[in-house]
Amino acid sequence: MTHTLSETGADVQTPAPASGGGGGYFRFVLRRIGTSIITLFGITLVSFGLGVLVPLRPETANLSQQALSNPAAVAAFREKFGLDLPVWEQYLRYLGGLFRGDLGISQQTGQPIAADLAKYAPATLELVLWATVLSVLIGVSLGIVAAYARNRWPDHLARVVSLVGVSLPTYWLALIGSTFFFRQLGWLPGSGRLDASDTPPPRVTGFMTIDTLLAGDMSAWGSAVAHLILPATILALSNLGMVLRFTRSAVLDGLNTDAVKAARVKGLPGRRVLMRYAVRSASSPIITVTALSFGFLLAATVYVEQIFAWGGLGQYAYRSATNLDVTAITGISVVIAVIFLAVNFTADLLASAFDPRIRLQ
Amino acid sequence: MASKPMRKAVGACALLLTGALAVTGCSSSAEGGGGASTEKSGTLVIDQAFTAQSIDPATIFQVTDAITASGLYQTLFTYIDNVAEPEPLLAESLTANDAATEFTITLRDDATFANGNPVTAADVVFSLNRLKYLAASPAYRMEGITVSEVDERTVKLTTENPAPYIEHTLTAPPLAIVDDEAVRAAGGTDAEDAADTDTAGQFFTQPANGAGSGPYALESYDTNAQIVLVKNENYWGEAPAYDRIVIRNVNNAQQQKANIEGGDSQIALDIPGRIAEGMESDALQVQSSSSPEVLYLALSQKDGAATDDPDIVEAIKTGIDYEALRTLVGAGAKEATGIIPSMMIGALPEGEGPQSDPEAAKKLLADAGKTGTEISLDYANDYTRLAGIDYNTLAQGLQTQLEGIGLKVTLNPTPTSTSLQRYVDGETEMALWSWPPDTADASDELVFAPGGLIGERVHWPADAAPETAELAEAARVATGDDREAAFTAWNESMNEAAPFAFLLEPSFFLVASSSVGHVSHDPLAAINLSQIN
Repeated sequence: MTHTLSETGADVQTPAPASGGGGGYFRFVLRRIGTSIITLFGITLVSFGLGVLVPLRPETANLSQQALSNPAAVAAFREKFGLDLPVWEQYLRYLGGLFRGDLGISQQTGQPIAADLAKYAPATLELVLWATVLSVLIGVSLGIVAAYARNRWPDHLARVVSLVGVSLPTYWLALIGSTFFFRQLGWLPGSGRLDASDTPPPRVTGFMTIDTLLAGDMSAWGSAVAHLILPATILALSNLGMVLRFTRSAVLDGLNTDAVKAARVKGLPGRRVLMRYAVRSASSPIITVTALSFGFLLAATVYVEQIFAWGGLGQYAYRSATNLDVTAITGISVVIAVIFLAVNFTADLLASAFDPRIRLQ
Repeated sequence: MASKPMRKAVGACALLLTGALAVTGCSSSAEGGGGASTEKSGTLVIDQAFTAQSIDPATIFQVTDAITASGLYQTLFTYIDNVAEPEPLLAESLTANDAATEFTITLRDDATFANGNPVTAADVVFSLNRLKYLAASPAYRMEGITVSEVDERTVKLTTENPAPYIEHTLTAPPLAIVDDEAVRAAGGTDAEDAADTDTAGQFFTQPANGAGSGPYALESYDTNAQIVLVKNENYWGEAPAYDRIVIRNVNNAQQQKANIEGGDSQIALDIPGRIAEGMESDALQVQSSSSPEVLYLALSQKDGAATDDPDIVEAIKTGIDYEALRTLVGAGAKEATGIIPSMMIGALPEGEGPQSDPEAAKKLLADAGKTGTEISLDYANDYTRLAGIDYNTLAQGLQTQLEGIGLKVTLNPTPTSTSLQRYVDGETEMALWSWPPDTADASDELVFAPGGLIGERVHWPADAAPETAELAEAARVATGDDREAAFTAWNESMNEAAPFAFLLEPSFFLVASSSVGHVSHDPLAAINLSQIN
């Protein structure tokens, strides 16, 4: 399935030729896996390439000033992290390691990057998952309402919400949200994933809301949920506009289809026509926008994690970037790309299941 | 009237909000609300913009790690309450020979590590030799120093050159003493090939590893999110003030402010002075104290650089309006009187520092036909570590002032790593920097002498200013009461001859909850956790 934006901004499926049956579906899956691998390869090349092309030396961020003026200390650092090798050899070594699941050693933590990512990814995934759920629930609902009440006040209101969500920087929203709901009103906690007085539960999934439950610590669970609300909502707001506009356009397109016109002529109630025909026909783009949202939010989490001291991939990425830790940056890029590709792949499969017009080759 | 879908959407949102508030309410009631409860429960929360990299003492050079180390480990000497006078900690006494090249240190007999082992001379020898041979960033502190065991409670330090400042050297976090037995068992070594064979690095990140003798033990170490210390139940000294200390990575100064005002934290370390000054209240205390750093302009003497001209150097040094710069930076900063900060020996009294005379500078340039000379000014545009001073503002202020005397200044703002790299490589023409000290002793500033580490960065070798170089060497080896006079003389000579313009001494600001009884700035580690009560 491929998606293009129509003039109204809706995501429109380009109908694929008739299905070739199970073989066609299998070929489709194989093709998607193949393109995913090529995409991943490209991402490693771009991430690594950008990191080494920028004329910076990681030792500047990772050695003391005294050590920086000591050629032997600098040489030892560069040798330790393979920075003394030609760039092409560094890259080939990196790729070789990647095939073995070895993403290299982080210059800032001294730990294997794979271990660092495994440690920090659950915090980010927990945040992004809830933000995606929030943004899709609210965005899709408002999008449907806006399409149904086109050019009336609910539509105008939804457009304003959309514009505000798209226009306001996430970083600023996070600061304002924290100041208002934490500092002024005291309704929600400030930084971190858990109240500082709570002892973190034993790590099972890395999701604080789940691990506290598994530990049977309801006080800590309440704290974990409370800490999640503000950053997840801020993150969701940053993406709400896109989901809302996507949904509105898709439902509007659905309302203009012959099937809907026929249903109206038949005298079916407006609500039933909306939900059964227009929204259903928009299900595929909605699934796509959900997947896009997840990917967008994975990237946007850097800002929110910085403000709320979330301790996930976003903060790790920020520190890696400021410490010129190219290997770690490449590792983060690869992991986020893998997650994004997997979510998109799943979304495509789901879309084909929801929309019978789609035939996969 | 709203349609049904609209009503449903509104209903869903209302339900979500209600649920969220309900959970928050449950959580708040369960926790007792906000950060006040954290302190009541014996937890102290400190917000800091992290620079953490390693908690292995022999590799520590970042501020976050130095703060953490101040709770976990102990050195032979320490500073107390930002006074630049080392006090014995694990040491009981120190005697030196007349030449200040041999030092005999007697250890106190009651100190133990968290694992129960006593602190002995063998631990001191192991720790200092491991630092030396691990050859990590702070290894230079052991250059020219040899350590040996005399008996179980006595060690001897021998230095290649006179080191009357040795007690200051022994205060530094990398010179912390660790339990050699525990570290050796974890793969540590103090052999000469330690750089290749020591494998104990990660051992120090393990909870309750017991290798330190400080009042706190490690619960968790995460360079990204937070570091947690817990009370060392076996601490040999007075019981620590808190059951638990949580140091959180909060990068944003505004968020640190919100956290401490909201009771979510008890100490904030990165709130700029101009903001901190307005935060004093019944609930919050704001401390401003001298910083052992001087903000300076480095003027390259490299051939071809516009600043490789005595007239230009003189014009810049006299053309700067230091008082105006201080006002621009605000909040506690004071004009520098030289390269030696006012808290160290050899510092010049107020009013005896560089004198500002923009008119004379303007005339000097005009008479020499050098009006309109173009100079680039390098600075780190993301560097706010120094009391939250915004280098962008400062650089723009300098640009305006120098253009006022007839120079054309081009700003070259880059991220810290880039800016530092250019400076280390000696590629900058004029650069704005400060020097974080290794100790609170004036000997630490000798890197600015001609031929010194910083002197070389501006292409200023010893033979370019032999008199100043000689005064530096005299200060380095001076002992006893002669030290102050020697450093003062060198400091004055630097003001005359050095291609540096010493601008400001920023103040270090610390905001703490008024419930924190005592906390003070530490010259080396921002704050010393073991001294908070």
